[in-house]
Parts: sequence; structure tokens; C-alpha cells
Amino acid sequence: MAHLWPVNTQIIDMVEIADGLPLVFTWHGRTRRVKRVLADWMAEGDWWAEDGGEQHRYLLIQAEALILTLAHDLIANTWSVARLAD
Amino acid sequence: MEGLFIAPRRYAELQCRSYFSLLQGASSPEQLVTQAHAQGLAALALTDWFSVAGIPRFQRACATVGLKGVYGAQIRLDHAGELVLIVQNDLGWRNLCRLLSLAHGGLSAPESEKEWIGKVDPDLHLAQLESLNAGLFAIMDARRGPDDATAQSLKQLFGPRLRQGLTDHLRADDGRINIAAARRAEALDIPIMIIGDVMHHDHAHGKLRDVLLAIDQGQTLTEARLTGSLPANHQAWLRGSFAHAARFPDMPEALVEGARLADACSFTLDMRNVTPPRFVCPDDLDPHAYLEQRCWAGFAIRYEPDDAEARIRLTHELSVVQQAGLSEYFLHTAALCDEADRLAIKHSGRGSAAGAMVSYVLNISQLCPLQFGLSFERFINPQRTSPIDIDVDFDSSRRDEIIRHALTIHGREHAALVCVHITYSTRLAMRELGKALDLPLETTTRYAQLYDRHSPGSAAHRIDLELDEAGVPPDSRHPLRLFAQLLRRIENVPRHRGQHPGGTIFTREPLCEWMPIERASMPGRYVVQWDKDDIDELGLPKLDLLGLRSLTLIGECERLLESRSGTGQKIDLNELPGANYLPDARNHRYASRAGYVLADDPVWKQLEVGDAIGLFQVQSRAQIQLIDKTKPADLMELATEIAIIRPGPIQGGLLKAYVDRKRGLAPVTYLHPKLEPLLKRTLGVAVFQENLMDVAIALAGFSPADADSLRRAANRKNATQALEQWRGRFMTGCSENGITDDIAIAAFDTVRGFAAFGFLLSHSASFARLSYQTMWLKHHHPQYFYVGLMNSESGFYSDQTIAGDLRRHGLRMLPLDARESGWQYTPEGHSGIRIGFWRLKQFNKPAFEVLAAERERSPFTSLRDFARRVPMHRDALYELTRSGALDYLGERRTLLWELGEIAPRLDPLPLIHHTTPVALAGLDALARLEWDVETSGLSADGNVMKHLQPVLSAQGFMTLAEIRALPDGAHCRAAAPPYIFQRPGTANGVCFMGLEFDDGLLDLVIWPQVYEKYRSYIRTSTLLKFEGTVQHNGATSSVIFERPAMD
Repeated sequence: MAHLWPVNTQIIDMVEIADGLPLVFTWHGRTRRVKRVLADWMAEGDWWAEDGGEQHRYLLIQAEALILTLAHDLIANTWSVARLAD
Repeated sequence: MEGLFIAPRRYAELQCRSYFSLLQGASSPEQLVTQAHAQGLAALALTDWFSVAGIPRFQRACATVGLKGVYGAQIRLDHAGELVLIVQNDLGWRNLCRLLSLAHGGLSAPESEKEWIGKVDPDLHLAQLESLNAGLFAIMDARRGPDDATAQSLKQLFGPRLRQGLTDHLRADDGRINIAAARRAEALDIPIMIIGDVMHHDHAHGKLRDVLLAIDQGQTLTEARLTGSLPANHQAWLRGSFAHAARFPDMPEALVEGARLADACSFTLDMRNVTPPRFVCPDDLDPHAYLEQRCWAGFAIRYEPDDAEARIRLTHELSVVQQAGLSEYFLHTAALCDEADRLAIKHSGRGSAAGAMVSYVLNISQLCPLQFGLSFERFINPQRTSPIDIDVDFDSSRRDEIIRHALTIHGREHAALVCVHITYSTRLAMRELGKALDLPLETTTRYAQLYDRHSPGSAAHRIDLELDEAGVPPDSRHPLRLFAQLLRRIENVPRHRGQHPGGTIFTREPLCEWMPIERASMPGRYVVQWDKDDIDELGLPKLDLLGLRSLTLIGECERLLESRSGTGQKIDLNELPGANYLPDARNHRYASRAGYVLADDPVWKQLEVGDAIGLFQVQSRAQIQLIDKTKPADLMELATEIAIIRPGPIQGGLLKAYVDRKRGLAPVTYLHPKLEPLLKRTLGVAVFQENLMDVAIALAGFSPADADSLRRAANRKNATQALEQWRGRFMTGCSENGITDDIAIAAFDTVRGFAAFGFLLSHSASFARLSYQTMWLKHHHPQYFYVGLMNSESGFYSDQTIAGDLRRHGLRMLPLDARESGWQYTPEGHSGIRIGFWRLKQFNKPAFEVLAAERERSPFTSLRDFARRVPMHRDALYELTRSGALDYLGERRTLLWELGEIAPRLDPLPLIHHTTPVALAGLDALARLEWDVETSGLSADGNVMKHLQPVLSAQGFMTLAEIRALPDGAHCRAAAPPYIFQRPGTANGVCFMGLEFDDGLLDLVIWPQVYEKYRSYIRTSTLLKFEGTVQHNGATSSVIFERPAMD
């Protein structure tokens, strides 16, 4: 079963980043190391809308035993967990 | 975390669309090339959607920055798989052009016309690639590529020239699609290469692409998003090798494959060897021998046999024409003019070709080059590297006959029209952007009304200023900020392709092997994908078969003179002494034969008093005022006047210099003594494009060929940039000739002035002759002149304004009448002009023909009788009744009542229907005039001011006569409807407005600050009430607008 959250609700602290890709982050008080990036994609939403729409880069990662989708809000420069597969 | 990627040493982008992939790509070829160069790409291919329209500009841009350019196009097979075709060599180019021509119906026979109409979505079939794939590489798109079976077939066709492309735009499914494509490629043994599927040059232009996609779908952006018409992101921009390597770190070979392919491509576009179709000469004569024969026969008509100067000139021209291999080109052009003569279609040569004696003796032009001192070298010379073009004007109402003839005799494989790329105008851009952004219609309508005369970019600037004043922050997400931002970006973006008014190309080899041909929407027309600048750039000779409405006017007048004179005698206006008079010896033929004395010519006198409405080239208010100030005395001076009211000379500050010198208010001086003999006739002012060349040759030591290239640079769309490239050479040349820097700089400034468009003397002189002919007609045969003027729709005055002018010349406008009116305007009696039916929107020509036949048979006795015998749609009958054409059958309102009763029961049998008689009040004069104008565009009863002026006078608003009687500088208060508004780019923001009073026209001048203050009132008023200051300029008067007048 997968858990889905709206982006920017499950905020994480990114401890280490290299070339725009996450290496180490903290979520719910626990620090995790990214083992590999399985896929990534970008969504640029309704830029004409009043709120400017989204501009996110998504990364499907393996962090220890977890498979997570991280969302990087490119406007606010914040990271959050969008999906957890277990 | 897995390892870092390594960027390939060389990456070439071989899948890239520009904005010539109409409403798909968002960047110009130049923007793409600049970006590719900045990204350090090894090469860039331009692969537009079924198009090579951007290739000439792309090639030029690549040469400028030193980037390897590769040519190709993107196609679709059987409405399914997409494929990029890359040109490897000359054969590949020919095959690509044939394929694109096939896809666009350019090679379909005219018989299939009906099937083709409405087909706008190009497509190709796999079978068509079988014989036309040599010299081409093919790259299969991973996302939109062909299915497995087609991929296998392509492998058989292309063999080692087939590649599987992989693209990553950071979309969620890119990985899955690429893996599947790579597996198939491996199975079929097809090499893989990385391609960018580029749609715009930088990330920011992704917004414009979204908008173009929404426009293409006729949707708002939100609708386009919901229906999946927009991409998930804006990653289809032209990225460098680093970005691609990051996405495909494990595929170093695929990353450099594009560069390898580009290295194997050696094709460069060069059309200089294209030759015109063979001309079939009588008696198996060699084409040049036949040209000589024809020219000397024409010489015998145009010149005295012992005219040594003319004989030497023609001999020289013929030798140069032979050397340049242009004999057949002239013969083809002459043959078209012969055909026009055979069909009694008026024609007149113009442009640089009009300066050649060969053109004159072949009857291509009617301008003696010796008379005007026109140099043949301006048109063609042995060193010239650029192509020539010949421009011939035809009676615009019949030009189509000539174009059809030209396309028919050469065949559709060898002749086609040049295209035009219709770019976004301000109004269109506002309408379509507004719709995409879902702005209220009234908002975009308001902006379009206020800014329709500007480019989208400058309109955007004004909107931003308004928002600044309203306190909207520049970086806000206010919809109008986005609107303004996109207006700037959409500037120059092509919207669709159309056909040039008459630019035609003929080739001996099949044209479709040189350039793609498309079937135009007009039946029987075929167009190439390049516009006139592209054709010029590529070195192709072109023949412009243009339409000129003033020739329609002159032609109609000649026919009326012949048919109504009673003698059946033909009058050739080309032979009028005044249309050929110049004060030098060469004019003796005209002066002595007709006893012509210029000073006695009343035609010139009429022009001098500003009576110029409807006259060819001199009817604008600016021209009328110039003529009033300078009083041109002969054709050369008239040609100067015509040429000087052009953006080039005006922006170069030459207009004022010429006027002051002509009026004796300033001395005639020359920038340098060397220019005195060259600019003497134009009082030291460089008015014509020939003068630009004179300056370059005399001061900077340019060869005639280089000077001509400079002139052509001034004629380009981006002329300012093109001319700047010549600056260094011009300054060096001047320095070597001992010309001081200050003179050289001033001289180059003169040259730069022509970037904004100027005329050739040969062109202007040709126009001056036609201008005199229209003057002569207006003076001697005003009735025919006005009939021809309104029927030809020449000039820029409305029929209503022209009707006012003809009344002031003692003629009468006669109302539309079903008993008398023709289809168009017709002369009646000695002073009447009858309004015709053609302006009615619902009533068509076939209905008129029935009407004409029926009234010939017996008069119409009632509305019912009319309705029964001339069947037409109820709306047409309604309009006809409102127009007053049936006034003789009853009062209009009563007839409309009657129409309401009988219309549903109209039948071919003369059955008796009972109607209810009613007594309706008749229309008052003003309402009748309003109905006349609404239906026919004008009223025989005069204009609205005839009825309003008494009311306005009672309120203290002056008549035109009262304004004219005021002293210079006096204050006035008046009101009249505007008939024209102009804000020329050359007038530094000053606006000009024409107002039509009952007793004449008045010019209103509006200074920029005043215009900005009252812009909305000025642009939206149908009756402009104003206060201002009177200004008298000789025979003309104008008013400086100060403010709107209150009631």
C-alpha cells in the first residue's frame, strides 16, 4: 500500500545535496541516506494561474529500505515527501 | 548514491523546431542558433514540422556565428509515427523537397482540387519514402515514433541511415518510453542517438509555446491543460551536452551520435545555378538572338532610327543581359506583357527593371531610361552577385488572369508563387493571447482599439506603463502583466503562411527539387515555403506580377472614353505629353509633336491647389501639403515628391531639407563636392535608392555590385542590422578616398535612413507617370475618373468621402435604383454617377444578373412582382428595400411591412395574397441617409454633416468655411466625423486625423502629449468635437487639436 500526501505537507530537512540531487535528509526526526535515485521528473503547472502554479521536481529514491517520492518545490526551494511505497 | 556522469566531448542537436513549425515551436531560427552557439553544440539541425521555411534564415544565422547547420524536417507517416529526416547531401535535399511537396499537395494534379480543399494536415505514406529516401538520414522519435512493423520497414529502406532517437524532458514516463525504444532498437540493430525534441530556445519561451498550443486548439490555457494539449513542463528547450549527459549517463556513444551524423552531412543551400524555363523561340532561334530581334523591333517604335545614344545604350544592355544569362528571363516577362496586351489588361513596369532600356523596348515598362537618366547598372551589372527581379503591375481586377496564364504555360512543376509568413499583428496577438489567458473580451477589445497601430512589443510597453501608473508591481502575477510579457514574445512569430501578392518563381528543372511547393487554398495556386527575402538571399531571380488598382482605374476610364465618345477611338494615356514631359532635349518628341507647354497645362495647376483626392500616389494629406509647399514643375520633381514621403527619407531628415531648398529658404549644399553632379536634380538631397548607391560609389569607392548589395541590405526586413554590417567597409572606403570622418559619418547616416524604406528613381518615375494620368483623367473626364476610382477601390478614401469630393467638382451622385443601377458605379448623363448594387452585403451578382434581365423584359410593378421575378433570400430582399433601391415602388418602411407579409409565401405562381394595408410614417432625411450608408456605404443625399451642421452651428460649432476664413493662429471650435486616423512611425508620435465636413475635408494635427491625454475620446468618437488653433499652409488648412469641445 502507498501513502500519498500533498506536496509541502511532509516537509523534510535536506542535510546534504550534490548537483541538485539529495544525498542525506531528515524526516520525522530520523536522518536517512539516499542510496540511489530511481527516476526523476519535473512538473511545471499552470503558470498563468493566480498562484503561479506549481514548479516541482520529483525524485523517486531508495533511502535505506524505503522507496519514496520526494518533491522539490523549485520556487520555495523546499523538499517534502509526496509518496511512500511500502 | 551512484557515480557522476561525464559530458560528451561533442553533442549535436538534430531534432529542433523553430516557430516556422507554426503554432508549435516558439523561437526564431536566430534565437535557436545563438543558444546552440552559447551551449557549445557541435552542430544544430533545423527540423520543422513538414517545413523548411526557416532554413534560409537558419543558414544565415549559422554562418554569422560559425556554427555548423544541418537541414531537415520532421514528418509523420500514415498519421501515426513521427520521423526526423536529415539531409546528408544534394540528393537528400531534392528528395526532402519532393517529399514535403507531396505531403502538402504541391504535386497533386489540379483535377484533384476538390479532394484537396480543406486538407490542411500534411501526411506522408511509407510507400512514398521508398523511392525518395536516398541522401537522407532518418531518426525515429521514441515517444511519437512509428510502430514496430513500420520501424522494420524503415530499417529496410534506410539501412545504416536509420537511428532510434531517445529524449528525456524530465517527464514521468520518459524513462519507460526510452527503455522500450532502446530495446526495440537493439532487436532491430538500429543505432541509438540522443535528441532533444527542441521546441524553444530557452526555458522562458515555454510559456509562449503553451500559449501557441492553446491557440492552435482554440482553447484557453486552462482548457488546454485539462485536455492534455500542454506539455507537463517546459523542458523542451535547447539544452547543452551537460544536461543530456545527466539524463543518459550510461550512453556515451548515443550522446555523440548526433555529432557523427552531422559530420556526415555536407549539404549547403545554394540556388545560384537555378535557370529559368527554356523559352521556345520561333524559327529555332537561339533565345538571345530572338531577344535581340524583339528588342530592335521595339526600338524602332520607341526611338528615332538615328538616335545614337539610345542605340549604344541598348547594344550595351543586350550584351550584359547575354553575359548574365538572363535573355530567357526577359523573354518570359515580355511574353506575359504581350498576353496582357492581347487581353487588353493594363500593365506597367516598376522597380529597378523599369530603368532598363531592354524593358522599355520590350514594352515591359513604359519609362524611357534616358529621359530620366536611369542607369542600367542599377538594375544589372556584370559584377553583380545578387539576383535580379522584375516587377510588373497589372490591372488588379484582372491580374489573376496573368498569374494563371504564367502558371499554366510553365506547368505546376516549374512555377509557383512566393509565400508570405503572416506574423502576429497587435490586434490579432491581443485577441488570441487574451483568449488563451481567458481575459474578458472587453479588456482585449479596448487595448486592441487603442494600440492597433503599434507593434505588439510597443503595445506591451504601453500596457506596462498603465499598470505602473495603477501601482501594479512589475513582478506581480497580474494577468495583464502576463499579457504584456507574452505580447512582447509573440512579436514576429508567424501565425500562418499565405501567398505573396505576385512574387513568382520559374525554373527549368522541376521546382519541387529545389524547394517544397504547397497547394494554396486558392484553386490552381501553388506556393513555395520561402518568402521574398529568402528568395533574394538564396540568389533566385523572381518575377513580381503585382496588382495595381490605379491601373484598373485607368483601364476603366480608357474603356469608358472609347465606348462613350461615340467615335470608338482608343486613347492611350501612356502617350499623353504631360506624362512624358521633362525639360530636356529628349522630350522634344512629345513637346514638339503635341505643342505641349508645361506652364499651360491645367492638370498641373489642379494638383498645385491640392485637388488630389483619388490621384495615384499623391492623394495623402502629407503629399497634398508637400505639393502645396513645393509646386512640382515636371515629372522628375513629381517623382521626387512621391519618393520623399517615405519612411526612409523622412527619418533621415531629408524631407525638411528638400522642402526648404525647393522653396529657396535654405541654400542647396552637398555633403561633398563629388556628390554635386549626382544629387543636383534632387537639390543635394539623397531621395532615391539610386542616390544611396551614388553616395557609396562616389565617397566610399564601392563597386556598382557592392553598392547594389548595400541597397538590397537597406530593403531587408531587418535592414538596420544588415546595414550596420557595411559600416566598417564604408568608413574604410571613405578614409582611403580622403573623405574626412565627419563627412563619412554623415554620409553613412544618410545610407542608414534608407533602412526604413525608400523608393528607386525608376520606380518612382514610373509611378509619377501613372500619377499624371490619373490627374489628367480627373481634370478632363472627372465623371469617368470617379467611376473608375470607386469601382477600382484605389486610394484610401471611402466612397462616402469620394462622393463628397465629386459633388464639389459639380457632379451628382445618383441613388441606388432597381430600374437603373448596374452592378458597380456607372456614369449617367454628363454629370451623374449611379450607385451600383455591389456594396450590398446580402445581394450577390447572380441575383443582379436576374434582376437586370427581368427589368429588361418588363418593369417591376410592385414589391410582390419584384420578389416573385427576382428570387433571392429574404435577408437580401430586406437589405435591398432598406437601401432605397425600390423607393419608386413605395416608401421604405411600408415596403418592409409588406415584405414581412409576403416573404414567407413567395412562390413562382402569381397567386393573390391578401395583405393588411398600414400607414407608416416615412423616414426623415437623416434616417434615410443612415439606412443608405448602412447598406450601400454612402448616400446620394450627401453626408451626415449636411443634417448635423445646422444643429451644431446653433451650438456654436463652426463650419469648415468659417474655419478657413479665420486668420492663422486663431482659435476654433468645431465638430465632424473622422474618416482617417494616422500615427506614422516617422512622425515622432504626432497623430493626424482627417475630418469630413459637409463642405470639405480638414486635417487635424494632434501632438503626442495631447493625444495621450485624450486618447480614448479621440479613438472612439464617431463625431469628434474639438477646440484648436487654425494653421494655414498655402492652399490647405489644418487645425492643431487642443482639447475635446464640450456641448
